Amino acid sequence: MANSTPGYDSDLLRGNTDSLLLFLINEHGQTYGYRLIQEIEERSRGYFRFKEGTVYPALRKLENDGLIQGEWKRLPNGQERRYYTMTEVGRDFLRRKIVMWESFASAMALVMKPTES
Amino acid sequence: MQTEVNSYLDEVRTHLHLDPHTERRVINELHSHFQEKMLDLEEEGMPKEEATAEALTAFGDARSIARLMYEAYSRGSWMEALISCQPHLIVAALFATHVWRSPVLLCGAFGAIMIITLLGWRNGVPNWLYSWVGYAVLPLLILSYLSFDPVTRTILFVMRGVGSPAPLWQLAVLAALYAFTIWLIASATVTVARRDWILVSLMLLPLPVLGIWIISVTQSEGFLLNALRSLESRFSRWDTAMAYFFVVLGVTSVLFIRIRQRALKVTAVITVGIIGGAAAARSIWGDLGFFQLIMVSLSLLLFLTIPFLLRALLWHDQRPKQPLAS
Repeated sequence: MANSTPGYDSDLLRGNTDSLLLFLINEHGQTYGYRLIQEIEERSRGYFRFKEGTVYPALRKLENDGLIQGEWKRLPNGQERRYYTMTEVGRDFLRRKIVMWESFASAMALVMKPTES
Repeated sequence: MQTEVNSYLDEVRTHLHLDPHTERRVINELHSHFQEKMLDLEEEGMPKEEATAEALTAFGDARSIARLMYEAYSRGSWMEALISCQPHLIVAALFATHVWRSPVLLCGAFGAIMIITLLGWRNGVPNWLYSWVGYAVLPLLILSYLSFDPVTRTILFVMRGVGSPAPLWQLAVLAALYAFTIWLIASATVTVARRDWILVSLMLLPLPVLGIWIISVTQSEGFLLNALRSLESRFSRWDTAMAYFFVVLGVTSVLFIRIRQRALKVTAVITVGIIGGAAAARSIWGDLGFFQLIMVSLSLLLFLTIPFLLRALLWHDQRPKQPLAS
């Protein structure tokens, strides 16, 4: 999903895209593709940059796995938009991912802290 | 603005290879994205043309997005995979138990396959259906092949004045049968090839080996019905090889439904079609030399890639444009 940027290894973002999307969908209760793309960029202050089109296949895979559920809604201006909501399976998955990420990040920080000599 | 976005979406659509319903859903979602993105950029003060260009660039290369979409959408469920392998397993069972010689069971099996295929076709052509279509047209192909004798007699009479011609009504019935068979196969092929040529190859996968087998049986006995009537084991000498071949086809159709990557799907169908087909031909025809085996393999390769060549020639990779939902 990630574009190659000098700031980070794109594989690192690719491996965590699911968690980012699930976290934001869970927080909003109900949201859509374009909003998710904007929010990832805003929250990361432009750090996470990727080809926007790659978000939609990622959303579809989450839907296929039963982690989120999509639903078409017609807006007052006649435009149709696909909204995504979390499923119970998705919430459990996200909880496990957050715990895993926190443990991983703190372990990384502990190891990579310069030793005082 | 609309033209550039529509051209982009058309390019995505051309490379999606998904069923029309899913295709519409994908394109609508992307269209909705572009509308919002461009509106936001224009509100930020960007000129329309620039906003369009920026939105398209940020979205990524159309072919890559189409490939990712295909991988996300193309994988069928285990239930679909199970249904897709059923016709192969039914035919494998007919050979493994030698009951293909029972006209009742044979008609029952192919009747059921034809009815299920027809129902599936009328209900939106689900992903599992493609492996059924080849078997559904088989009875018509066999009937056309077996009923060619009156035509041959008439041709011989007209060309050389030998024997007697078939009655006119018989020729008329046969002409109607051939026309219907050709129309049915051609229209199914064109409809399926518009979506993806590899689905046509999947559809045609069992036909070469069944063709070789039927010709061999009729050459041995002169008429397939004689083999059906006979209980002699000599007609069953190829049954084990045929049963194995159809089990392999069953596994291939499961893989086809479950694999996400299109390149792997193509590889699976073509490889099994060539290697499995050549192995089955070797079992039936016996002493095939290396050169003959190569020729059989090349013929199978050509047969299975004809849909690709047809699609490239007829449509030049362009598909009819469909209006976007508002």
